[in-house]
Amino acid sequence: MRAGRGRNGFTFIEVLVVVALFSIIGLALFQSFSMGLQVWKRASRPNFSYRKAVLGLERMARELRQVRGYPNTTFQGEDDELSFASVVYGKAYNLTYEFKQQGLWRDAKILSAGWDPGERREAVPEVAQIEFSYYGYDAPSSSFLFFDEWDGQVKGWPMAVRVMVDLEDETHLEKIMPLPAML
Amino acid sequence: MRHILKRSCLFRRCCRGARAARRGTILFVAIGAVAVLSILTLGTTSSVMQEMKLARAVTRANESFYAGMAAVEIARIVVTRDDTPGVITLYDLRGRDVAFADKTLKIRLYDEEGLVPLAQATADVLTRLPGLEETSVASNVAAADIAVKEDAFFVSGVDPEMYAQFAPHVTTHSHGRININTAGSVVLQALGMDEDLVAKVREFRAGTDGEEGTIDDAFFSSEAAIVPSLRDGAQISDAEAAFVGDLVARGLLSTSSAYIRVESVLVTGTREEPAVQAVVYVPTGNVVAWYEE
Repeated sequence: MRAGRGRNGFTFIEVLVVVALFSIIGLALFQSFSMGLQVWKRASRPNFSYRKAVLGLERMARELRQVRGYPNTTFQGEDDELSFASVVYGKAYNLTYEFKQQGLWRDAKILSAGWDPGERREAVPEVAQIEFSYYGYDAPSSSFLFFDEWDGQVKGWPMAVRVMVDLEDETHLEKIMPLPAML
Repeated sequence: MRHILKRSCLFRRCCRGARAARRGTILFVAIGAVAVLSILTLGTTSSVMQEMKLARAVTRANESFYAGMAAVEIARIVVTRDDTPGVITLYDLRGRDVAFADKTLKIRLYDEEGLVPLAQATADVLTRLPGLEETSVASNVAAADIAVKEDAFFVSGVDPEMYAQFAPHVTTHSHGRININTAGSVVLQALGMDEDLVAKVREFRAGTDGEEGTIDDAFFSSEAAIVPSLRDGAQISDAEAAFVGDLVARGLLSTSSAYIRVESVLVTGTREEPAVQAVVYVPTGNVVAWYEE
């Protein structure tokens, strides 16, 4: 009886070997899954920030196309900031786009309502470097150039705004946004 | 012997069990592999779909912009080189469909100076517009400093429902006079004309076929010709002639326009891209306002 029972069960060594084998397989599986997840995250992260940047710049281009002349507001542009009046979704806003705290921030103040605390949000996140330039006529050279700064009080509106963005994941984006009012 | 048979039976059962276990393991591994591949496929598909959606949105925005610019170019040409130089009529502003490749560019032109000018209109005129019947609100709108039409939305007493009613009939792109060749019934009534006089004006403009915006349309060639044309072509009474003459004398009527709104829609097959609207200042051809849906 004893011998028969012994033949049906497992020895301690067999159990140990099985446990060891399962541990190794389990560990290998866990490692491959966790590596796969890390690769997936790393691969999709730049894609996600790139998409957000494309959408943010597309929205900015649309707002620039809808630029409008409004009393006491002018188009002001620097290499890391620009502001202009625009009519968006049926309201006149003074919009400011500014590179600050690793992002392109959009400040919107309603012009029609008088004093307005405004709304601030990040238009393009995870930005390492940004540079705006403004296309217009240069009288001294009698040619059209991109300028680093633009004073709307003196020059009116530029013909186009060029934005060059380096994202934190080293993706580079460049977009030229024309202003139909000047074309 | 019994013992041997028992063992052999056990051995057979054991073999069958091992084979079944092997098959189970293979099935388990296969299901796992299919699950992992499905997850990867779903992830890749979703990523590609998002990229395509983004690319489509950017392409559509660019296409609409260039279609809008093309429509503005066409409008500049048709308005400045029409059969009625010096005046803008509804026939000049008829719709145009331009076909190219597999697309059609639908262009619709509207006269901004056929609308009530918000900056110059008096409370009296505004009160006759739909939604502004309340005198105090019309007075507020008349007194407000309105730079763009959308400012009217924020005037004290104006609610969204009111704004939706009067907004299609007002503009800020105007020199202050209303073009009698293109103004609609609501705008002519806002000037104080009664329904009968408005009907006579429109009947005169419609020409022989009785339809406005067609080749046989009659038009007022100058401010001085408005009253005589209505007398001859629409048989207006002396009182009506005096009333229209007063509007002309007060500088409220004109026969031409400096601001034209160009609406363009790019159509591919049955799909319509979002409409783009541009207001063009005719004398210079400059775009002074641009709207996208």
